[in-house]
Amino acid sequence: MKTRFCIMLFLLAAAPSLVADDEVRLKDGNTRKGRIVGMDETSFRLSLPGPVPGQSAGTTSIPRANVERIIFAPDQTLEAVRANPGRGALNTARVRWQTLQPMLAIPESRAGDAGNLYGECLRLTGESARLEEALGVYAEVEQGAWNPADREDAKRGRLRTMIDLGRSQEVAAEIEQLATSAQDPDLLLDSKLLIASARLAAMQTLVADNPRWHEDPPVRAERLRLLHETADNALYPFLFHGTARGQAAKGLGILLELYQFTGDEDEARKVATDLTEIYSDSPEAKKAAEFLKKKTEKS
Amino acid sequence: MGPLSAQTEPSAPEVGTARDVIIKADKAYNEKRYDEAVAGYQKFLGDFGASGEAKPLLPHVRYNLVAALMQTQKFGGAAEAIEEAQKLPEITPDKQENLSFWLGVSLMQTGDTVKAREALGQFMENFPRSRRREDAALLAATLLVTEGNKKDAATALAAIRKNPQSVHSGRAAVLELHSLIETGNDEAALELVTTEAARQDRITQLATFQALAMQLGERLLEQDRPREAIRVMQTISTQERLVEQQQRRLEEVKKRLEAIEADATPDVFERAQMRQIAREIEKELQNLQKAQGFDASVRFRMASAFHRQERYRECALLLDDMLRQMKPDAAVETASLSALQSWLAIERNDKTVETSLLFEKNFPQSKQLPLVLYLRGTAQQRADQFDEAIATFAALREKFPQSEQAPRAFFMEGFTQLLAERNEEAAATLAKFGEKHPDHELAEPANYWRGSALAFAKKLPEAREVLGAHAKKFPKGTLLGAASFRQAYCAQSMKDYATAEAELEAYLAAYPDAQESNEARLLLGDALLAQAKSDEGKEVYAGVPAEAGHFHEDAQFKLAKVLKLEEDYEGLRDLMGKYLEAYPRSPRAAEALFLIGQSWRQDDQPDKAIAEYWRAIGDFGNDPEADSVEDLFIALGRLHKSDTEKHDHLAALRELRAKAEAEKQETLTVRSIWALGQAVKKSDPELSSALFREASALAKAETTNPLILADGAEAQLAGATAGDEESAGRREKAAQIYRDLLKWHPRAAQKDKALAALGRMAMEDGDRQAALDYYTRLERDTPWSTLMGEVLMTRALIESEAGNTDGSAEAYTRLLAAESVPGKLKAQALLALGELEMARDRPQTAIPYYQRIYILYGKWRETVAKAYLRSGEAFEKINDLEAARKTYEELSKSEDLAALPEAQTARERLQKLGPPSGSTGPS
Repeated sequence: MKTRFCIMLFLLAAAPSLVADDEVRLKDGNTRKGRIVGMDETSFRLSLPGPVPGQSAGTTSIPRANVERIIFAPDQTLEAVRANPGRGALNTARVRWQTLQPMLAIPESRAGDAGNLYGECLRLTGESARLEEALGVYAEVEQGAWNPADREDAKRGRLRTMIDLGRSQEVAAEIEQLATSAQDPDLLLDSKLLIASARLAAMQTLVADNPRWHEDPPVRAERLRLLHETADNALYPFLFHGTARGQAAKGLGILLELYQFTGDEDEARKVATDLTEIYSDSPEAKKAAEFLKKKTEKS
Repeated sequence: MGPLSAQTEPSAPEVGTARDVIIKADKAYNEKRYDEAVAGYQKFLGDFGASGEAKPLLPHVRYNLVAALMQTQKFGGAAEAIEEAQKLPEITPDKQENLSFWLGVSLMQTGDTVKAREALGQFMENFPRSRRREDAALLAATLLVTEGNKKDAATALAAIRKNPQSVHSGRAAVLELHSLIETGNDEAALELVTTEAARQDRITQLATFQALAMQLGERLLEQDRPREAIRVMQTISTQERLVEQQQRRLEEVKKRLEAIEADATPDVFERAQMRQIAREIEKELQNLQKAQGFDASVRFRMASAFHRQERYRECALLLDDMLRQMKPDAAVETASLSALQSWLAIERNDKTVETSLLFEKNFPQSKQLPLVLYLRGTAQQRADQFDEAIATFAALREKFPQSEQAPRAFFMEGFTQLLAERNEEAAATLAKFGEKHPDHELAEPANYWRGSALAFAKKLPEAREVLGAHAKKFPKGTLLGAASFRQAYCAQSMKDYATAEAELEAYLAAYPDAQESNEARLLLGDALLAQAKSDEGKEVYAGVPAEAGHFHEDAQFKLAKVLKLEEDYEGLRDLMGKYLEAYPRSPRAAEALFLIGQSWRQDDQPDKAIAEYWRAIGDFGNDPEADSVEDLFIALGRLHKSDTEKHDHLAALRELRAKAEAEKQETLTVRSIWALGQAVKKSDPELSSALFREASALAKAETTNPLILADGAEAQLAGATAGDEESAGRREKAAQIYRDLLKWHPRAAQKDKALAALGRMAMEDGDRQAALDYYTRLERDTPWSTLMGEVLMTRALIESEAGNTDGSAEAYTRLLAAESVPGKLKAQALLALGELEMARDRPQTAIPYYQRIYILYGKWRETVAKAYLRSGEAFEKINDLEAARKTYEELSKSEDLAALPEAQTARERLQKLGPPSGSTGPS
């Protein structure tokens, strides 16, 4: 038992750290290596590597005024969360975000990325309270992150969360503006997907509020308009940027959801087949495969 | 095995100048002066190679010579040198490995492909674990391609591509795809493209790969395999993205090349490879950047594929984008036309029109313009944009009179006028069409619709003439029956029943099962009855089959009417009884019951009428889908006239309620409570309201008659006047009931009440915008509403308070145009419009509004008086004192208005104005 315990201790000690060292370059030309574990208004706290891998020798404070630059090491925790975002990674993502949050404005820090990943994990739970929390996180990153790319991602995350909360109308103008002004193809595709999601959500609300919409010509016309706008925007990545596989598959996923909602079985089948044949590695393809399987079993 | 490098320290006995030569040659090699090194080593071999003393040095020298020759890329000499070196047993295994590999490479470079392949094969066999093995495998496979043996090449390349350890999988993919396409192995090519789609980042010659993919896609299209073609086309990037990716790749390759060059002993093969890759990518980039219509090409093919799958939305989106993004050329022109047709196929009328306008702008000289205009007109017509459609068709005819579409457009112009109920215009247009194109395929329909248009315009004799001549004009036409029917219909409308009878009988004899045949039977029955031929008429009505739908229903009720007139009450009861049996849930079931009830009353047996209604209530009272039950309760109420009867009726209703509650019959409970409310409405309004409130509280909006909901909501509001918490609660309940009514009964007759009430409540809550939204909906959805006047007046006031005088004026103007608005409100609206103009300091525009009031709405004295007075004031403002005087005089002298305060004001104004100029005394 004791031997086993010692072996375990040894293994723990010998286990490689999940994160590599950050490099703090000082104005005097010196460099300190370790892990940035905190900061306040005047200094950074650096955890120094110990003699045994995975163990710290202690922490030291470095005045911020002395720091030229920090090169943050790759963050394997964040990469692990990125690979599998969702409820399962929520706690890990939260802890990481809380640790990095004070460094949101520090150049090169991963705080913005951590915030966005935590926001994504919250969003994927689908729970109202967590969605609200995600909004707060995204807003913070959007306003305070040093990296423009992180701020853009946060903006997109915020808009997506608003749609999930059924508040797409509040951000409709913002989404449209994003679509018309986007120079970057990726951003354009994301905004098209946002619009598609928003229109689908609006259509679902319209039908819920007007269950006999087919008897009401103006509501019927509005439903048709939303249907067309959902489909046109959802198809955009697939038709015009088919090699942007993630976004193309997402668009087809929204389209499949649309056709399932409208009960258009034929179109749903075509879209599901596109997903399973062309984007078989996507999460949307899995749902499509389940849909096709159910249809086959029924018939 | 390390890179090719020279040994630095020969282990040989000193041999004077021989050693010097070697040292000098080695130095040259290490300093990358490879030609010098080659010369040195060759000199050594030439001068000292045969000597015994030089023998231990030979392995070093021969190997280094090979190395130097490879660096200088003198492959011919290298091959020979390698073979010499390989003969030396002292050459170490690692060097033998290098030599073996380089033999294959050298032979390949000198063009001896067969020997090169053999050498590489031998290398792979002898050194299976060599790090160069994959290099050799790729080279050997490439040689197969060069030799034209694409089939074996494909197999070999597939093995390299699928090897997860191989660094050449990307290059192998390109060569393999090429080989598969060349050998016509489309299935394997398809599988390759789709498998590699997610891994394209490892393919260095991406543009080439995607060009091959496009080739494959095109071939699949030719084979009519659109789904597979789409799968392939989806793997092709846009030109911009491809250029960007390849530029990044080129950067990476150049960096790698720099690193190799910087090495003390650069790896020859890797350097050669990197140089080759860099050249290939540069060439790809040049071609890509010069390429015209790369994206258009891909999209056009994809659109074709979607079109074949009848996925018109996808097709239209792709082609439409070409029109918007690309320079207008022949390909884009063709694509745009297809886009239009695709939009029309999925009834995207808005997109069809939009795209057609863009087409016209981009291709003003296109030969397809007539077709484009025709499609635009068709889309506009389908979208009920009749005026626009008519204009488009007219424009087509005018601009392209000789085009194939011009006659069709002519016909459509007339037909659209008919749809727009511009009947006389339609008749004239279709007549002109007939004159201009007597032999066109649309000549017959044009003639038929011309006759119909005349009929709709009530020009019945002309209509009959046109329709009567139809058969003679078009003896083989397909609308002969329809024309005959319409002709007979006109006779009926002219009350020429004898003619109508003859023509309808002739029509039914010739076309017993035509589309209008059942309608014809109804008309014939009417015509016969109009001529007092009631037995024949009844027979005809009875002959309308059940499958005729509403015609059959109409026939049954017409028959009932006849029986009623003939006082055949038993017959009537029998007929309506059978109707109710067959159609218990029909919307006309109540009507049938009323007729039965009436017949009992006529037979002086009101108790039996009551019994019938109660029976129906018993059968259908708890059925939410039986719409007419509420009407039965109202009818029952009317049958109880005396106080005693009313008292008994109430008791029966209470009993019904109790029974329904006990048996948990939810729908009947609600109905019976409501019926009680109806029964006491006049005698006890408070109790009535309370009962309505109770009924609506229990009602499920989805399945409850909107009449009950509306009464409940009204009752809630009536009880919400106190301003206390209870009132607030009732108000909220009323609002919810109205919202539920709108949600579950969008076609309810009470819709306008609900919208008006919600609008009013929103106004009271200070939410002007919500109020306006409700009023907008009311105007849109219930243009027939008798509440329109009140709503528009409120709207005008809201707009006015918000400072939006234009909006206010528009509301008043709409009010004036609405047929359902009573005169009193119209007069008030005119007055308000006049006031708006006065406020804008435009008295000359105000005057006509005022004048319209006293000319058209004289009944509304107070408003008329105000109008006179303001009109006079307006005349004064424009200094037309004569007119002002006249107006005031009319007002003050009017007997009807003399007592009103405005008349007094008018008299005072007259005094101030004094007598007219030129007169000698007071007027």
